[in-house]
Amino acid sequence: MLVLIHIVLVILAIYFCIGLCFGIYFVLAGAAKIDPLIKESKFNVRFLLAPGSVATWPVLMLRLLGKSTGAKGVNLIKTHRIIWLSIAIIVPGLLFLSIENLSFQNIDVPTSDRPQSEYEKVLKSKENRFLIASIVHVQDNKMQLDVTVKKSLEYPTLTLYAIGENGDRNKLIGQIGSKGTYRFTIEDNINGILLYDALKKITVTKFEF
Amino acid sequence: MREDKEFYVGYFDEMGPNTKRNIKGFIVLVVLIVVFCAMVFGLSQRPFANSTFEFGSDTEITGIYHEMPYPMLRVEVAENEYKNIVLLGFGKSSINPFLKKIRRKGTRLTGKILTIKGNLIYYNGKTLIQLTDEENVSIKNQLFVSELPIKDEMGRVSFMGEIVDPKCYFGVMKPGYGKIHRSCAVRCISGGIPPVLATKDNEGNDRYVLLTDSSGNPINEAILNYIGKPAKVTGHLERMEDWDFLRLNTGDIEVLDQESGIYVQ
Amino acid sequence: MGLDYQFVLWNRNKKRYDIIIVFGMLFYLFLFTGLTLIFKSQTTMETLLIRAFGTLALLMLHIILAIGPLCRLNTAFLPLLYNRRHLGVSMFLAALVHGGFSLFQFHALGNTNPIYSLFTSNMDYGSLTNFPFQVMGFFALLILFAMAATSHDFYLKNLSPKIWKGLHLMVYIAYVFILFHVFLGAFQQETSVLTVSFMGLGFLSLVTLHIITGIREAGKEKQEYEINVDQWLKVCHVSDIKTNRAKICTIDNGPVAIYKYDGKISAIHNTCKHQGGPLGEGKVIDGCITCPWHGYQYLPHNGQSPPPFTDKVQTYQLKLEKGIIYLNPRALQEGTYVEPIQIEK
Repeated sequence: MLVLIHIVLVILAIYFCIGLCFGIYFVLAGAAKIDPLIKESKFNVRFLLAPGSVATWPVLMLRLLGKSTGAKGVNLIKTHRIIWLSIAIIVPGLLFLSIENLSFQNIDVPTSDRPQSEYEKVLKSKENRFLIASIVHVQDNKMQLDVTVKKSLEYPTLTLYAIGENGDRNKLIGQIGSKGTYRFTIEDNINGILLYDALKKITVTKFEF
Repeated sequence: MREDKEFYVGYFDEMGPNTKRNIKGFIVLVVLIVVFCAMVFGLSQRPFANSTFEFGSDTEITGIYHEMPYPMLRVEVAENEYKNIVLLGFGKSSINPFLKKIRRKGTRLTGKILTIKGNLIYYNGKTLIQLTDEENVSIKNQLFVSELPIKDEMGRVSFMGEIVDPKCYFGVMKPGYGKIHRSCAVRCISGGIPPVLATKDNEGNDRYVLLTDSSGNPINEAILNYIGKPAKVTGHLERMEDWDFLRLNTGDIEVLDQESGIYVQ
Repeated sequence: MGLDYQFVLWNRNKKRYDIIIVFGMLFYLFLFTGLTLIFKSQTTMETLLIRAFGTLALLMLHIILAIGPLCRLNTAFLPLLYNRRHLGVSMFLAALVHGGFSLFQFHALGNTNPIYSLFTSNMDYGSLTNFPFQVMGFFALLILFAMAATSHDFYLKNLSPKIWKGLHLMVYIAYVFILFHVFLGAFQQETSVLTVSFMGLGFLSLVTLHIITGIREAGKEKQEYEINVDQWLKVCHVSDIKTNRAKICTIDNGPVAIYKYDGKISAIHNTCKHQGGPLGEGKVIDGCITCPWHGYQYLPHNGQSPPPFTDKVQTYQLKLEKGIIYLNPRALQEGTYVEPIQIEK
């Protein structure tokens, strides 16, 4: 396949390189040689013709060499009919095959569950548009902070802090990455949490329980 | 056929009333089609990720340089809390060409503190940075080898997901995955950008795993055939702080006959 | 053909036509961009441009392909045909923006030539759904380029109408490529019942229009004529032809237009030298048979365009006996003078 691609690309490249060279000649002299009317026309017309000469230089070359390219009138009604019949027969099946395996429903992006309630006791819980946070009792009198990030947040370096008495960043809890649920073991009870971006140096959200 | 049937000649100005009515009707129909078409194509677009590429705005990050095996900067985001930011070059290229120029001056990089000014790329907890000029790297000569991150073995695992190029996926392009984007992802990974497997864990949480070859070296050309398609990938998982790595043999990648993009959208 | 070539041979109708094209295109782009920015605001500029221009070109292509058969079915649509060329070039430009941006977005700034990358970055040529759909878009764009670049009367004349028409028939190949470009590309990822059925409907409408037209045209061709002793064909009664109009009869040599004008009848070959328009569906205006497609003119008695134009078509001899028109099926050389037959009162 790679060989075939190389052949196609080389042919295309050669075709367009010759076309470009021919195009320059064509604009300067060739066009007027083929059709004397060009001499009577404004020069800008030749520039309009230039791209066409790049595309069709083999035919124009034949014309320059004096070969006729057949000047008979054309009646293509039959050709149109044959083409459209073939399109009508061949294309729909292939189009169908290309999409038959697609599922047309929007695929459900699984949303992360709220913290599982298999713990002994949920002490506090609060939710805003970014987060759901709960403080729960787990075994051995230990406490755990469950934080669910509801959606991907547009920040590069998110960190989670416990807030101090005056509502500022007090103690680091951990980093927050993708959306989903995070579980942190905590030693003391906390008043609230604060989401802070280290690089942007801004508080994204905070709340008290 | 009436004798006075209208006959339109383009270079005459007048147009018969019947023809005029017809053409007006056609134009009205086309306008309706245009409106309908814009609505169909505009509104049926899948939602775009809220990823960010800070094109045109520079951010400076400072951290310890390491490559295990992909160049990253270990940036302290809070006291003793680190985030590893992936370093990328300009366009569809890794950062290696810039680093090569720096190394040519005889500078060792691993374990040194680097400050890099570049464009941040971030989405869903992962952060990368694009460097556009090696002049934007400044190096402190002191070595901090003891502060390099450590990889933990997590065992052999399998994931169903899609291999993407992190540069586009985490911000530069939308959508940066799937069939439409496949050839771009191939170009990026072929250009040295580390391949990432985007997948979901059992709870439906997004998970991103950097891929390496079986001995932990960068993998690029060998993986090109598997990019941008739903695939089952098996290998040895390692965890290094906020990034996972998977050491794999490309023979262990199984392309799944599934719809483009289903694991990542 | 004229005395010289113009950049564009403007006239009022063409200007009107072009103004409608430009405003139509801007209107679509504005709507698509607006809707995307309002409802899908997380998009990127590049994706927005690629999609806006891609869908615009797709829409325009469908309109262009519908104009031909519409005009065959109802002559009141002919003004749409008159400047279809500019619609085609505009469509190519929209497609070029789509292709150019996509090529840059997906293939540039990498470790190889973007065109080479387009062909080799996805090598699943053996698969249907994984097929490298961008390659099909590329070839469609090449065809559209060749067509747009030769959309000038200079090329129509100098490539010869036969080659020119053949080249422009390739729009059907481009259309099929584009269909698969969309079905194997965008639809594989941006799967939506709405877009797929919309495209399907477009395809269905075009196929139906063209096939109905084809069947109707085929009906016109099937004609058998009584042949009298001298091999002349009995065509019709002279009163069957309206004044300044023609009757088309199809013989082995192709269709012939028999015109009644000024109390006389004349016959010339039906196919216009310009783009093969049906002269018999035209009208005699200022003493000249005028082609319904682009208004090219021929004198009825010798099939020559009035000076300074130089086009010629074949002429035929007619006979009138008791009000019945007979046609000599042997065509005379292009531009041969034939004495018009006077219609007896």
